[in-house]
Amino acid sequence: MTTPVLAIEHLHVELPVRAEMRTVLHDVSLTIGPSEALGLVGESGSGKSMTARSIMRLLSPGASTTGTILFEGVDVLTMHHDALLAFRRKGVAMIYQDPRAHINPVRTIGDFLTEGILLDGSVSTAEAQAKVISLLDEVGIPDAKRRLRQYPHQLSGGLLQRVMIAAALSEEPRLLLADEPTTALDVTTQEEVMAILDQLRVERSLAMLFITHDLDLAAAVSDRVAAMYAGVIIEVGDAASLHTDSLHPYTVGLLDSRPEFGARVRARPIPGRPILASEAPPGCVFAERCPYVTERCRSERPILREVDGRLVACHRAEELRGTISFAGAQEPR
Amino acid sequence: MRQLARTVVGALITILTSSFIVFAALSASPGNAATILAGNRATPKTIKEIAHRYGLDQPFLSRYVHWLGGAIHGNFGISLQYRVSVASLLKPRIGTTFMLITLAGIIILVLGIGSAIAATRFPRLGMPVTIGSGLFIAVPTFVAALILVELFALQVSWFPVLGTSSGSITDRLWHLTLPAFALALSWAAFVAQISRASLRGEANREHVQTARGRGLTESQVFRRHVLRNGAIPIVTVFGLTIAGLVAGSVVVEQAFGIDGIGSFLVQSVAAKDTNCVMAIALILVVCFVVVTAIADMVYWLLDPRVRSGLGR
Ligand SMILES: Nc1ncnc2c1ncn2[C@@H]1O[C@H](COP(=O)(O)OP(=O)(O)OP(=O)(O)O)[C@@H](O)[C@H]1O
Ligand SMILES: [Mg+2]
Repeated sequence: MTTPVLAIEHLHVELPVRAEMRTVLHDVSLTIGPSEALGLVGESGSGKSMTARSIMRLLSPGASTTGTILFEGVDVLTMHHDALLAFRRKGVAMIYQDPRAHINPVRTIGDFLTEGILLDGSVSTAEAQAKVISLLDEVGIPDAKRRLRQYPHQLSGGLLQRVMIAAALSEEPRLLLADEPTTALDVTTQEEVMAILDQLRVERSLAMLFITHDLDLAAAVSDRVAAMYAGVIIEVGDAASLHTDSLHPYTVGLLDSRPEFGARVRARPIPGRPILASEAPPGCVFAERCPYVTERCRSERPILREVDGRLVACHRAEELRGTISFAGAQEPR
Repeated sequence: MRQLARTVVGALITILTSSFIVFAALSASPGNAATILAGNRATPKTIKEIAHRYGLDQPFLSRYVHWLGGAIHGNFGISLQYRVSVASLLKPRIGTTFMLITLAGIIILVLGIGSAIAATRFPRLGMPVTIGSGLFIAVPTFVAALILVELFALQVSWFPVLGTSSGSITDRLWHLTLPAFALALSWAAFVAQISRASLRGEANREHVQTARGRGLTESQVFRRHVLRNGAIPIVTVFGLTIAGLVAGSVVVEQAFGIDGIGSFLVQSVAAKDTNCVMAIALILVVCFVVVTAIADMVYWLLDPRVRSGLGR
């Protein structure tokens, strides 16, 4: 078996909030194989961005982290200064949700794009520019030479996100982290930008962690999809069978709550308020909102285990398989 | 280029307007000037003659145009007090005051912005900088002057207590060191606090995260993304500060007995030497406007968003 590009094991993260430590991730385990795309879905606040930031080791100072994050077999969390810089330069690249906030507004597009390449010191400015121009071409930005001299506020959101994608690819990373890369864009450009990202990733056979709210998008671009709730990974399975074979009531609930295009029945959001990781009860984090909750669910947290070739954290997975529905569900007890 | 033209035109208009206000306010009583010039025992006839010789009997507007025309060529007329040209009195004093303000500006740059940078880069220095700047910002210039003289001139006599030197540059700098510190301290504290807030704000920006995530070292992140962006408001504040120093120099020159523009202004006001007062007022206004215009230009150069007319 080949070593996975990324293997997160039992990652637990706490952040300081007003003098007290607050849990944001409980025991997260995920793997991404070579050239594999893993989708990460979940409601707002479930900890998706925190997972990505943990991988980059970009959590705010004072964060406490346990577990391991193996990048090509090496633990990122214990890397020393130089190794960490090298990992950020060459190993991983991140595409952020809001390109306007994540690109320095007072530096030119050219500065932003070449900054990563030039860090090495082994590449001349002219070479870096040539490389960057061809990358801009690939992400569908014509007239690249002129763009290099422009400033971020002179570009539309869609173009800026393409610039961000080009910047991420410029460092030739082996792992791409994309945190809702199209959410901040307007609907017409979302599809184009997503198509470009997907195409360039596949061409380069890059591994990717793809974070999104959109289950269908996750299924379309990823090989496998992981669902997260309150800082816990609740289910991981093949993207192709996400719609048919999902086992966890939360995943099924998310699928039901999609606003379906042209559908007669209105989308049903999962009843109840999403909880934060820091409010998680001792048992299953989803217990409060689950129509199938039992006593055991409330007292014992289910671990992620294999059922039918998927990973699921539910005590009743086998028993409920294929029968889960929120339609007739009563208010949970 | 258009921005440059706009700034220059704006500055000229400000200078012109304020020159008119200065002239209108101070030359309101031309009779006085003639009386003073004529001396104590002058008859009304001599006064009239003198008024005529210096053009004081002309209508207001033509006197203004005459005065402004002279001022542009550095000719501010005759000092009523000393009976020599105002320009010859101002020239050496301008040099002294310029030196004082430059020195104070450098101190502010090094202490104020330097401590803000240090505190942002090395959080351990944050506390001392907070305390130090909080302390110094509250000390008025004349109190700072007294304390500095007591400590460094009287107790350890590293520096002279009073006066200006006409000797070598180093000697003059030596005389101006304590005054410059007295002038600079509270401004340095002010600049430190503003700069620190600006840098801290910039350090928390999302794009700084991006840079860090790309594997830049902390010092690269700081130089390229925090300092560069944080400098934009700092420049504005520094421009204001220099303008404030021009005003503050009056107090410090008085306190240290420095024969500069500021103390000469006070002296001229006391002697009702309106020609000198008008000249100094105009010079101060011009300094003020020029410094502000330069700060504007630098601001414009540093911020591409302002440059393309987007505003902030
Ligand atoms: N700096 C911080 N300090 C403490 N807690 C934080 C901080 N930033 C985020 N959190 C908390 O961490 C949890 C996870 O947030 P995260 O941003 O990972 O959610 P997300 O799944 O990415 O949500 P979204 O879909 O809205 O982006 C949230 O409950 C949030 O309140
Ligand atoms: Mg997020």
